[in-house]
Amino acid sequence: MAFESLPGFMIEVSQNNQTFIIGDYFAVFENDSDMPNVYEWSAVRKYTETSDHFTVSFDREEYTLPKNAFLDNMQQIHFRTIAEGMLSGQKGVEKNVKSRIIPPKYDYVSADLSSNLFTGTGVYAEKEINTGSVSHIYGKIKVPIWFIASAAAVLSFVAMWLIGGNLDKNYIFYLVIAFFIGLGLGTIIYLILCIIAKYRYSGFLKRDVSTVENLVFVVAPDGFGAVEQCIYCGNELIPWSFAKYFYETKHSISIVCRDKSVCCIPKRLFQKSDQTSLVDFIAARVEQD
Amino acid sequence: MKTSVTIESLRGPAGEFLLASITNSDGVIGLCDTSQKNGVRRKTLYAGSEALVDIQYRENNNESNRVIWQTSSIDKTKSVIGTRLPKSCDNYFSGSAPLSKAIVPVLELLSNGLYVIHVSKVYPTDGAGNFFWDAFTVKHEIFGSAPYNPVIGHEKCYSPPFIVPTQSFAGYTESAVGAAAEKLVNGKKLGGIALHLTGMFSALLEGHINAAACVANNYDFNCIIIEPLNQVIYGEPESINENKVVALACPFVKISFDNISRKMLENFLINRSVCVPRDYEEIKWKADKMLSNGVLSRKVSMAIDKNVEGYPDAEMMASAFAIDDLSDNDINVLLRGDTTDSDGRVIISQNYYESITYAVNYLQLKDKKRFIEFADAIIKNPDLSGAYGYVVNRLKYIMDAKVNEIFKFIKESEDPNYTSLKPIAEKYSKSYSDYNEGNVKRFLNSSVQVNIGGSSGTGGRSAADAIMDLAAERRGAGSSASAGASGGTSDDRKFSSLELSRQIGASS
Repeated sequence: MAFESLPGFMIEVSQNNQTFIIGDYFAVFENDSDMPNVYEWSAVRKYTETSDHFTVSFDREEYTLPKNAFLDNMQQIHFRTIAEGMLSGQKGVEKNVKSRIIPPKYDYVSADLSSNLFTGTGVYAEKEINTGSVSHIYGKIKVPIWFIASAAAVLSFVAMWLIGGNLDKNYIFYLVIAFFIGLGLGTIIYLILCIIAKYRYSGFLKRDVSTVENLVFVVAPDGFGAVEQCIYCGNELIPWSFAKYFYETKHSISIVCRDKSVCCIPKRLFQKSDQTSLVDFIAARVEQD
Repeated sequence: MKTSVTIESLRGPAGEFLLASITNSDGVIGLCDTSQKNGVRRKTLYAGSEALVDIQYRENNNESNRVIWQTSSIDKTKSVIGTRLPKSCDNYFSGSAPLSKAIVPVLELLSNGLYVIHVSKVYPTDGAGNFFWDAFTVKHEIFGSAPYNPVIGHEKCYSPPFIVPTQSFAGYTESAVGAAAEKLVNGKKLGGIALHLTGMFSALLEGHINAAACVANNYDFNCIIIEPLNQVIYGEPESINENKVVALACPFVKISFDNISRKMLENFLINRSVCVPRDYEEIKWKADKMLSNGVLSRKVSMAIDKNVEGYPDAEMMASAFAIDDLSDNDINVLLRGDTTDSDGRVIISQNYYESITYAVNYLQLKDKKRFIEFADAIIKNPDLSGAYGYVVNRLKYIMDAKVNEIFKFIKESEDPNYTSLKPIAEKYSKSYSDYNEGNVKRFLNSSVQVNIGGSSGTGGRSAADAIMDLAAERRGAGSSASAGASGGTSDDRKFSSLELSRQIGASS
């Protein structure tokens, strides 16, 4: 479990005449009844977040909390932090959360934060997310991209030879054109990636309230994390064992977790002198892509 | 916002209690997590910015005992707490306010949540025969401190019988204990206020000197015990409530949701088990330290040391809480070597020696006379030689003529099964004769005019035994009067010297 010190709260869903209390337990008062249905979070079978609601399913009942029932973004973040924090470390729970700009809270564990840590606070800038996204995708498909580009160059060379003939006289000309065709194709693919990254960011903006929240970034000997400042307790980290690899761009350092979520840490939130040691600190604990 | 306290009066199997709901509190006194490393968690009882008592345990293990130690003294928090604790304690035990009113100033200091409050007798020990006040300065595992005790089980309710100090032992002075003892002798009721920590242990917030005075003078020590109502009970498997929480519990009581108002339930559900006090960082830092009494050479009085030896330990209490009743028939069945009666009912446990030890513990606490008879029957039964050691170790602290006869039998027996017990028997015989002599001397010196010659034929029991029993009865009457103050009934029975002499005369 994680985020256990975050205070519980009550939320009324007037559409269904239900009052939920979210805390150490998941409790529901239905139809003004004084007898609640109280469940332990360990009884949750499925937890889903979509663009407009949260669903929490138990063996026999399923409860839906529409996002418009929450008072504000902060209460929504509060809900998912308690829910996901309580589901942290629990096996056999189906969790469906997509389009998150920072890793879900069930990746976190409670830990003692030592004094030897790096912290930074701020809101994400679009370029940090975009360059991070591009680097992430590019890192994954760079070999196929340049293979396709090279293949296109070879094919265009062969095509020009077959059509134009006279290889002895024109081969330098054919080579230059084929090179530029390959390079152009590679560049087009890269530009498509940039468009995808931009589209992805606007998707985050629409779907994930954390995109516009002040975030606290922590890199410590025991782990790392990016948590909304409004719910930051200073006791939770994603352990390094959960990190798969990291990559560095001009603007950010992104740590990719085993569940494919990404923790993007903007460099500008740290002092220039700390930025190099931060990269070295991370590199000493997780493999660089 | 001002702290709000709502109190309801309820009755449970273990007696009357108050159910309090606290909201908008600053949480001046409470428990918080101060460390979590490699699966080991440490909780700290704090007051203001002082860490008072640490409790360390392996996570997700409710059956293992806790390591408990003192880190600081509640004296240091006077500027924050003021005189609320002593005033509340005095107001209740002097009878000037009912419990529901007297305890409110203390409840206002606690963190938000539901609490059960009751007045119960506690034994000022660490549950292992040591006086409580100087037993928690060294980190060690405390028997009976596990939240779940397999001997008691999930079903039974009990009042936590042992206490952990929150005041430094430097606060112990003979003069203060003497002054409190004088109040006791003058008929004033003394007690304490304790907050339940874990298993059979509560932290004594107020009344350390009172506890010492009660132990030194062999009086019962009653405490207002405040138990956070934070455990849950689930619905029956395969019922409509399977996997649902249906009731709340603490050691003293289990309360179903039907008996709790919606407001109180909401308060329980909103408040989380982990709280972060205002001075968390300072508390966390202080919790790493241990309470040091420096070069204090002070020790508790001999009377305390001696009286504490006879108090029940955690094992005995667990057995007593586990068994509802043990009839003569049940005891006979056990002595025959069976664990089930003729109807097939398991008397205590399927394990025979477990049954014997639980029965010994239960009887020692609840019925001394039957305990001695049961012990005598075990010691003289050659088939039960495996239990001899356990029984003898339980008997050795009881100063009684019949016990002396049992030890005499052990000393004189040629049976090799008794060989290892003979040194204990020798030691007991010596202690018993010293004890008897001392009692007779005290008796002769006392102002009570009793015809000692007339008590010589009390069925093998000495005059000293008879006097001790009557003194115990007198204390019992005192304690029932004190319990009556909490329960609403009163017993004004008092034994005058004349009545005492009449009773002794009658018993002889």
